[in-house]
Amino acid sequence: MSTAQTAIIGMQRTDEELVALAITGDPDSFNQLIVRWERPIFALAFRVIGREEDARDVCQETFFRAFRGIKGFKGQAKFSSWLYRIALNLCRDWIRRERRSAVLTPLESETDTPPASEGASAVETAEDRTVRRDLGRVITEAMSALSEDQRTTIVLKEYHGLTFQEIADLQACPLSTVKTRLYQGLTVLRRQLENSGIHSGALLSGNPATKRGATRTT
Amino acid sequence: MIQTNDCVDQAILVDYLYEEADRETRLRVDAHLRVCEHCANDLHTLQGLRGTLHAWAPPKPALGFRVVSETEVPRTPGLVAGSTSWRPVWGLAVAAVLVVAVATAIVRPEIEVGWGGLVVRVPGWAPDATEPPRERAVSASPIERVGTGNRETPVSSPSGVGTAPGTDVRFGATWSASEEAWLQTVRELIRESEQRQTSLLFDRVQAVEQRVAEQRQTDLSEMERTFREVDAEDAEFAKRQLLEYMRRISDQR
Repeated sequence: MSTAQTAIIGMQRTDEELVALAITGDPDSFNQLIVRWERPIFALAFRVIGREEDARDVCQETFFRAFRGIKGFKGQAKFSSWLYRIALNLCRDWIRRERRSAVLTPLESETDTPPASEGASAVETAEDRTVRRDLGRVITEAMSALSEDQRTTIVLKEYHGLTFQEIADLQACPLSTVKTRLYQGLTVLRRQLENSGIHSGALLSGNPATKRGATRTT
Repeated sequence: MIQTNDCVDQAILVDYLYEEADRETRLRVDAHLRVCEHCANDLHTLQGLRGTLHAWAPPKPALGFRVVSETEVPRTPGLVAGSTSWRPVWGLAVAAVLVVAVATAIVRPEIEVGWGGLVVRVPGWAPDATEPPRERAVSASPIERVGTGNRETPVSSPSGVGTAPGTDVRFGATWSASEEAWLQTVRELIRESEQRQTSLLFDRVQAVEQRVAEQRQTDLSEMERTFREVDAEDAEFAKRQLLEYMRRISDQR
């Protein structure tokens, strides 16, 4: 079965239905889950550890472990939460193995600049694209100033839309701790960006009064 | 800047920011923001920061991970990708230890351990006299090979157990625990081999000594018998007989 066919069929079923089929030994069902979740898992790994190749490895290993352990998945949590937990554990292992905080590398090439469909307006000029690429580089640097917990919390909340309770379950910490990490992490980010000449308030109001000429991208 | 004494705390502010606050809390925060410029600015800045963060997007490499059946994929030896892969790895390790045991029992290498590291010398090989001596330099690698290039085989891993005769392999001080255990096994095997060889040698020496003692006793008996048969007339003949006997025994030995 082709990837396109797999994706189309997968769209018709919920995660829970696909998991139930995968448990019975149907590899196509699991492949449909991969089609659905490989991008979010890769994005999570990339934003947490900051290296594309390692993020790919984490992504692959996440699905490998999920496939091996799918029969033990009893549906206590959402399938996506289970995947996120596996991926975050792998990211944590990677960071400890490397004995350093995540290495966040700015996107260098023009082709690495995220496409307009993600985080950009529908009509984007070349200048907008350049500005957004520069802004992404500054954010990457600012993110590297956060602790692993703060960065993970912001990534899960801001880019994956998990609820505070889901993040607390993933990080095995109280709800209040998640909110504190988020607030403090955002405060650190704001300070880092301001040091780089990016003023969030100006961005919100659409005021281009930033030293680097960044504009609001949403 | 207007700031009231009942400012919203961080948890409520992030609830409000991410729209997870319940209706009652939201109404209370709205009312507070109308009179507290400090909190309003704080919230305004955080909302702007959220907008800024959306410029940070990951690359989009080709992923395409898929589950395929085992028959579709050729097995790659040494690929560590699951619980089943450790078995052949350990099997190789056990086989390697056995090979080392046999090899060391045959060649009986000498092992020296000191501050400079571990030196394994195998008798029966002398360095090529035509080759100029090599400068010893401090190597950054945990394994340093010493000797001619084509004769050396590192023994730092089980795969390197095929040590060629005359190989002189030196390890740095930074080997791992598994390598240490492996070397300990090799040392034990060598010690057992030496003990066996010593025991065999002792038995053979004892046997030789016993044969020599028996022969000496036979010689003495023969000499006594000859001297008893000798009389005055035959003294000269007896001496020649004795000398002849002694020469014959000597030639036999």
